[in-house]
Amino acid sequence: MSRKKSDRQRSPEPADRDVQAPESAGEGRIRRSAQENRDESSAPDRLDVDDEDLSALLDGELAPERAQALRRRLVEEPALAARWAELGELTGQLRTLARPGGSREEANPGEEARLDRIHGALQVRLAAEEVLEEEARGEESARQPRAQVIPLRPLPGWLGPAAAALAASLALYWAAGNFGGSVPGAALDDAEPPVGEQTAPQWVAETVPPPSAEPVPPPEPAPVEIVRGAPSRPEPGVALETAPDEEVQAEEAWAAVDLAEVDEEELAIAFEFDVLADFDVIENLELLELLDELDTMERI
Amino acid sequence: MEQNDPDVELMLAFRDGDEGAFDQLFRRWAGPLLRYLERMLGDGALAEELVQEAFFRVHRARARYEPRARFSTFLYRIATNLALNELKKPRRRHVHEAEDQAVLRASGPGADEDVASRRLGAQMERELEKLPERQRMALWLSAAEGHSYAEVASILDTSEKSVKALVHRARVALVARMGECAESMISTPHRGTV
Repeated sequence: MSRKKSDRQRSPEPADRDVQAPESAGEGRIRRSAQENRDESSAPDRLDVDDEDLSALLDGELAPERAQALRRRLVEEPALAARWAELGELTGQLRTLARPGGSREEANPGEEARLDRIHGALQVRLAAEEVLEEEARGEESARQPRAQVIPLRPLPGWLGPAAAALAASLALYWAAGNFGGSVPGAALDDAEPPVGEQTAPQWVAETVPPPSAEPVPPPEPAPVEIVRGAPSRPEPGVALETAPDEEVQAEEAWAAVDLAEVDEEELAIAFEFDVLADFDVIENLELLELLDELDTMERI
Repeated sequence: MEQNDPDVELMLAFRDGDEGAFDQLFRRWAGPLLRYLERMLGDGALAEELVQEAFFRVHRARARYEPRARFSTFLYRIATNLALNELKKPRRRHVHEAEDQAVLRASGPGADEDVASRRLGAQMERELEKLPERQRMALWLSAAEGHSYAEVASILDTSEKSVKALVHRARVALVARMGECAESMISTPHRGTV
């Protein structure tokens, strides 16, 4: 210990005087006669001292004025000085023990070797801890995307029927879009009979535009309109308002569409977008993309 | 904050990513800490384990470290708590007798003074271990290692006033016991054990 306690200055602690040491042989409060106290009450350097002050003086913990008073007493009282010397000798022996090789170390391996061993073991332990922490961090980051979408996972029981209905509507849409050519103002503007009244092949055949000698400009993609619960061909403003026997029509249309002809990937994408939009779960594109990534990860 | 403590500076450097600073702290403090724990526990192997554990905890606590006291106070408080926990358990090993015999065997003829000194040191260690835990810790930290009463109070989680009393009682008790042992040795010089 390099620090010198004698350099420190402590403020006087009157409370220290009230600390009673146990009354054993040679111990106890160092009493001074009442006459002495009366004679010296006006002198601040002639304070009463505790037995504990002897230890405090040895440890450099006594306030300067109390230390001065105690030193004066030690000069005046040989018995007190002998006791103080005893305590001081013990302190010296303790300090010897505290030095490297103070006592038993020579019976053990040298202290340096012991410290090297401890240091090596500590380094191994810290390295292992670091590996464990990295693994924990890796697992945490792997779980993170899932954790973000957990609130969307426990979807209620209506998802199954709703998804089926949407799948049917999308199947119809894609079937119509793929095979119908979607000539603006042609198929949609014609007053077609209700979907349920025809078979799909006929309807599809009617919507195929006849071959033309002149190049027809490519049609503008029609905006995708999500029709809730109606697996019919999308016709803005019509499908939702008409068809009182919607359910019957949906069933018939479902039966009429050959899903095998629909591109599965397109269907999956459309289904995903429609489900999300339909149930208002997703309100922004970022979340949508996140879900897409999640699905990709799940596929992997 | 302890502005003038170089160990605090090292700890702050370590907190900021300087691994070498941690090694320096280990080199500075592992020895004194090992000796302290060895005296408190009376078990060298256990003391080594606790030194490792104390520095491991310092390493893990680096991100949260705030220099509110001297680094040694911070370290010794961790170590003291570990030691107190160990002392609550049934004592595992008592190795002093064997070690003392080894000391005597290792000392050849003509080394009487050295042997006497070692006997005295071994005796003091034994008597030290008979003291109540907190007296023993307070005396060692203050008298042997030179920690201030304020630091000891912080390490032992008590007041300076209590530390002053603990140190003095321990010192007086140890002097008395050593005196008894010295008388015993004089009256029966060939009892074998010190």
